[in-house]
Amino acid sequence: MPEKSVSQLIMDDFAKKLENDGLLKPIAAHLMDLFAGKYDEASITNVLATQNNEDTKT
Amino acid sequence: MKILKLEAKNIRGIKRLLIEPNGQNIVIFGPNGTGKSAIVDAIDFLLTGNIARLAGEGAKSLSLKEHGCHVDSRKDLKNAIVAASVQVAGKKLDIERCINKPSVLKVIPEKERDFVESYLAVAKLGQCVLSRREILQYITAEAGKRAKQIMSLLNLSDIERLRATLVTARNKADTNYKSAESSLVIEKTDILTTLSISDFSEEQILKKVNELRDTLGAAPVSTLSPTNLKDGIKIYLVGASNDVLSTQQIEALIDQGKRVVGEKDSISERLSELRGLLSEIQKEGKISQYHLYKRLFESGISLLGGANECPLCGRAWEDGDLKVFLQARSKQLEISQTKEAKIADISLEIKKWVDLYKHVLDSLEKATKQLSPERENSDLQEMIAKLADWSEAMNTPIESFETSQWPTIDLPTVVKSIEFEIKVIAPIEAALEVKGKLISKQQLAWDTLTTLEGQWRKYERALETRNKKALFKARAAAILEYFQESRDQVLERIYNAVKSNFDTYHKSIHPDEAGFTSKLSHVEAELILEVDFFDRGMFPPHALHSEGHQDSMGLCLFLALNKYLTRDRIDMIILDDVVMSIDRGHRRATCSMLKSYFPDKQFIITTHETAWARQLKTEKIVSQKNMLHFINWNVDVGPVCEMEKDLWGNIKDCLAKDNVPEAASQLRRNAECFFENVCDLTGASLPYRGNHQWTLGDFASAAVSAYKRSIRQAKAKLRGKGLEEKLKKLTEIEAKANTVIDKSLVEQWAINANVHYNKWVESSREEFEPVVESFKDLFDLFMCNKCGTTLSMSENRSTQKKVISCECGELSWSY
Repeated sequence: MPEKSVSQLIMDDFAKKLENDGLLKPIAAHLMDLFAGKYDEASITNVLATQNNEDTKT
Repeated sequence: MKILKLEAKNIRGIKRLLIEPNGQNIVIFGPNGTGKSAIVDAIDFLLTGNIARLAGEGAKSLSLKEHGCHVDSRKDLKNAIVAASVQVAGKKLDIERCINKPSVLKVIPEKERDFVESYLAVAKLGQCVLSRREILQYITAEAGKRAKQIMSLLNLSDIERLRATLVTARNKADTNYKSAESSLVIEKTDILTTLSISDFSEEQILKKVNELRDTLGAAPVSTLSPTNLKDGIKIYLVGASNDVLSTQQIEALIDQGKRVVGEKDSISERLSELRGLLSEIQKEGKISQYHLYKRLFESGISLLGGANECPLCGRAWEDGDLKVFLQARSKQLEISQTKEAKIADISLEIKKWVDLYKHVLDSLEKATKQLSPERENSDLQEMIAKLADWSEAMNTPIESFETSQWPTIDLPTVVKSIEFEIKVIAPIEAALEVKGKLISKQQLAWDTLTTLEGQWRKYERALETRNKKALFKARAAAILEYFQESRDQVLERIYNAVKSNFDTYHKSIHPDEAGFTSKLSHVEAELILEVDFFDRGMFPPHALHSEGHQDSMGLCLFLALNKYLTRDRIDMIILDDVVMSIDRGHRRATCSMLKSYFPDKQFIITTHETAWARQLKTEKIVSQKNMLHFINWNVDVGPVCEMEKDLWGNIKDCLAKDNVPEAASQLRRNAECFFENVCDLTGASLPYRGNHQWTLGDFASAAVSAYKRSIRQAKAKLRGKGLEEKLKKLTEIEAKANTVIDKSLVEQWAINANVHYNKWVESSREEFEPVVESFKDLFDLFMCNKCGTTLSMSENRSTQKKVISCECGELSWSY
């Protein structure tokens, strides 16, 4: 087997892409934590909505 | 990990069975229903704690504890055990698993548990066993099911779940954005209507507000805010509240309604345009594929440079044609993507119009109730409900169109269903006439500013919501795009590694397909597999290839995936009856492929075909001692098996029981296989047959002719060269061969049906015994009695000298 599982390789690459996008950087870590545990569409929406509120305030 | 010794007790159809492959390949053969697959299940259980056959589609009512043990051991699960001595990375260990506690693996010595478990983690992915069922899932399944199967092998079910969730989040963000945008339009329109202006600009609105303030004797304001509209006004009038429509508002609504209805023809045209685009998209297939294909064509153009050869399949094109072709395909896809963008624009335009019209009708209904409380307008309410359906459909037009969520009543029909002027406007205007229009200019200005206060607050809220939703939409789309990009890039690397091996293995089995290539690509949730068909293009594997090809493709794809996934951690591969549709010639090539590319793997092969089992022995995939022949099965003792005796011993046993048909059948089957092999090894020529079906008569006659011709030519070469000893030896071999060949009548089969082997079954035991004897002698002609190998021909291409010899060289002549 490779050192990392195929899923892990995908998720690592995905995390890098989120970090490199200015729009998503503020929530990248939060999203990756979420994806590592239990998540659903509502929890993803919640993270996005919270950050949107922050951004539109500033 | 290889199996040295395996013992199964009370598992599936096995009562007790001990096999000792000693790390070598083993073949388990026998008729259907003799318990071969029970061994596969036992190994599967030992390695994974599960039995794949008891899971998946159609196995919902089956359980490991109820159906994994022998039927008589359901109340004695402690004695339903599989144990093995295994070799793992050079270490010899004992492992054991019991049905009673399937998740617990006993390892001796215990300190090696983690070491063993790390190896078995690979086996738990299920890539050690290939059965006919898996072949179907790899090759002939729909792309979505194939993707699930391969993704489960790659352990990617979590990845697919995350993708599906991100798609849902993105779709929801899209819908929310459309609704927010539409609400903002409504709020803006309300303000325009209230102030009787045509363009929504702060400058115009401020100008109008200051005109109203001037009427009320107040100084102009420089900014717009719901809290400063009435600042400094000295005259206080009682008038409109946010809940009650003023006369001016009602009149403005009527004007707005007329304007909106006036746009109905242009909206109908836009709807026709939308419907046309949706129909085209539906005919062309899924939009999602365009993005991937576009990337493929663009990469193709960039890789091409000045070459005229396809970088994927190596096919040569006329000068410049390939580039033109790829550019045309790329352009075609751009057109499709443009269509997708156009659909989004038109649907948003229609949605805004529908929502605005619905809002006007809602407000006019409110005005009707305000002016004539006793009046009910059910037509109006029904129309509002139908407009709500259209608004919903415009959120996701492609999905609504594809999945019959499209409103059943056409939009122009909905709009026409009520005579707006007569049924909606006229009653309101009549009521307004009755109430009179005796309102002062100051009262009108006061009412307008009061209404505007509420509307401006709503507008600000709608604007904030729209901006949030736009950001939300952009983020959700970007997350999904990045995720799919990561997944595709990682999987593409894996598929490239797998594809390369898959192509190599397939070409090794089918050397006549030297240009064979394949393409594995992920599109949304589907895994597309396409393969070359004799340089005529790429097709799904089950579109044009025969069943035999499909079987060999399934085997090759499995082996390629296995190689990538196990990285030599599990050295054992179980092939459970998987070459059913592959013909004899290609089975030989399959053996060569296994020997060439997997020399260090331990293959455990089950088959119901004795001929295939024997071929595996002839091709030296398996030794005689590892041929496990299951001859029967019964519920009390499980498989009845014996190590396969020599063919001649088996035939002798049949004849001892006066079972001539069985003896004849065994002789014919094995002789056909044997002589086909001899033809291949000695380069014997067969008569051409359009259907590529040859019989024992063809194979045996051709083998004998080649044999005799080679001796004749070899003797001719020796004459006059002073090699009398060699000449004498060859003459003796030739004389003996002629006697044996004459006795077998083999040369007459092709021309004389009366001595054809089909007649054997009608013989008596006494008549058939000499036939067996003569065949035994005939077989011996082609085999060395010292090394036991079959004669084969090799040729020096430069001198064209041919040599017939056995492996040890005891038998050898050149010509």
